[in-house]
Amino acid sequence: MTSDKIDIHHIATLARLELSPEEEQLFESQLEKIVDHVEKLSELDLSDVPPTDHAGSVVNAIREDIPRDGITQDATLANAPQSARGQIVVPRVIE
Amino acid sequence: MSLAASTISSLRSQLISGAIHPRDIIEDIRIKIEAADSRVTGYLSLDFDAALAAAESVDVSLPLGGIPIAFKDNINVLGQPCSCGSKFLNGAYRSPYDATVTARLKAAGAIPLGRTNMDEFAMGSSTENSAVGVTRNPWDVDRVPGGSSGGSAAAVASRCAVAALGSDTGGSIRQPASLTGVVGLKPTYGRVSRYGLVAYASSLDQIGPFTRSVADSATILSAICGSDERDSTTANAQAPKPLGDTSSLAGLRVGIPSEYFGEGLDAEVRSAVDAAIRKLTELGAEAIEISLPHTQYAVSTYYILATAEASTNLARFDGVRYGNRAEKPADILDLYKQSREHGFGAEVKRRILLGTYVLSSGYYDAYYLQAQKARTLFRRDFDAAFKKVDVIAGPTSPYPAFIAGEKTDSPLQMYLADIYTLSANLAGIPAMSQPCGFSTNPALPIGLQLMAKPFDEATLFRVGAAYEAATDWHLKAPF
Repeated sequence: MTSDKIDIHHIATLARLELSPEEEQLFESQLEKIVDHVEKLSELDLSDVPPTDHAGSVVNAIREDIPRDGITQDATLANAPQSARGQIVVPRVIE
Repeated sequence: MSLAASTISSLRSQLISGAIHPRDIIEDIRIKIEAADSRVTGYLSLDFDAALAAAESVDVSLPLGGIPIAFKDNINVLGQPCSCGSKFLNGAYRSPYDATVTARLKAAGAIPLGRTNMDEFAMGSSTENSAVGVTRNPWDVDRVPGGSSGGSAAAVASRCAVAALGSDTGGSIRQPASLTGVVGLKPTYGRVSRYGLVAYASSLDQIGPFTRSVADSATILSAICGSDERDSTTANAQAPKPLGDTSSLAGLRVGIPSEYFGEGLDAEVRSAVDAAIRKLTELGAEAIEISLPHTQYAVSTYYILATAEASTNLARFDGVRYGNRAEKPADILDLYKQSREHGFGAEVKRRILLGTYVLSSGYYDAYYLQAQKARTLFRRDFDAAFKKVDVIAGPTSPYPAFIAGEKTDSPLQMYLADIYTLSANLAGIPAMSQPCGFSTNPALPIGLQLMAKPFDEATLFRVGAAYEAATDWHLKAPF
């Protein structure tokens, strides 16, 4: 495993978080401690071990694609921070 | 005994005989909540009017007819708030639908009553990460109730709820159940639908009950389990059988994992759990020492996988469709970033950052893939163990409830509180915590953890009910 210095600003950008300088400093040092701890996994020889992505027994559950009533537009818009004419308003995306 | 302090089974027989009306239970809970310290009742919000209205028309002949149930604040109940303990959703969101567990409980006659406090988005082991309210341990208000389902645990322990639902991703039902002295069940992965549970780590999350008896736990599981086309991970498994004879455990093999009794285990927890295992052998079980050799890697494996999944699951909180939105964003990207920066608390940001890091280009193979491979070893450990034994017994938490604030400065110390509970989530097996004793000075509850094969909750209930019938720890109340 690698244990490079964590580029917290880059990671925050990927995660869509606008951290303050104080937060960047705090999270960087805390994350480095946590990453140091999880490095423990490099002790294990896992070259011949297959990965497990979930512990469930069900694979590829499918059903007929039948249209039916879902949550209504009104109920959805009731939770929207800003809406107009039956739609959710966001800042301009296309210039 | 007051109605609020009764078990579901006792209330059910009184309801069926007509000795009480469903509204009597709700009124008694109201009195209990008003009398108790609000920090230990566990609730963030309560809608008595809706519950009383439901009580007037409920069919008491249904399996849970007339039984009020509290919900962790990350499970959707139509028309009620669902804050997830977060500023992001608090005051800004009401559920437009019922979760599958909610719909099933309502269909079984249960009445939703109250939303319980939790660590923000279920991330924590003390409920101190809630941005919405403070919950303390009913046994000692200077101490935490555990977490992340600390509000549900405190509500049931303080006799301010008959039963509650929680969610368990790495121990979030069992650890608070242990720290507050109630029964907490994490069912098998795939046993209970998560449709309508706000997702934290989807390959690990399960919904389960908090109750004051093992029989009540089985009753609630029967009502909420089963396949659901809205959660493709749910299995079409038989519901657990009703409890049979609980007077003897003859023929039962109980595995004692040596790794769960090593360094870091509090001496009083050890002696209470040892005594509980002796009690199981007195009831006829055979205790067999086993090994779960990869236990020491659970924290590392879990915190890579859970945070990776959390970083993607929480991408939906972008300030567009619901919840917190930045006041004056410069553009759409700024709207996402500002809404998230101000809506999320520190632990949520920390886990999103860690999860983003382990999934980021150049680190995926080293961390995420490595952890997925390590996860396979946990399944193999349990597969090997269950060839020799029927059930595994050990401590739920390494120590009783800790003092509030004691671990908040060190995220890693807080993560280590879950060392005995994480493996069951990684392997997808069912596990239950139940009261098995108290520490001295102060007297704080200690929990016994039982783990079984996938979809063998019936064995957990059989062993747990036999232990409960032979002891009286579950009858002790904090006040």
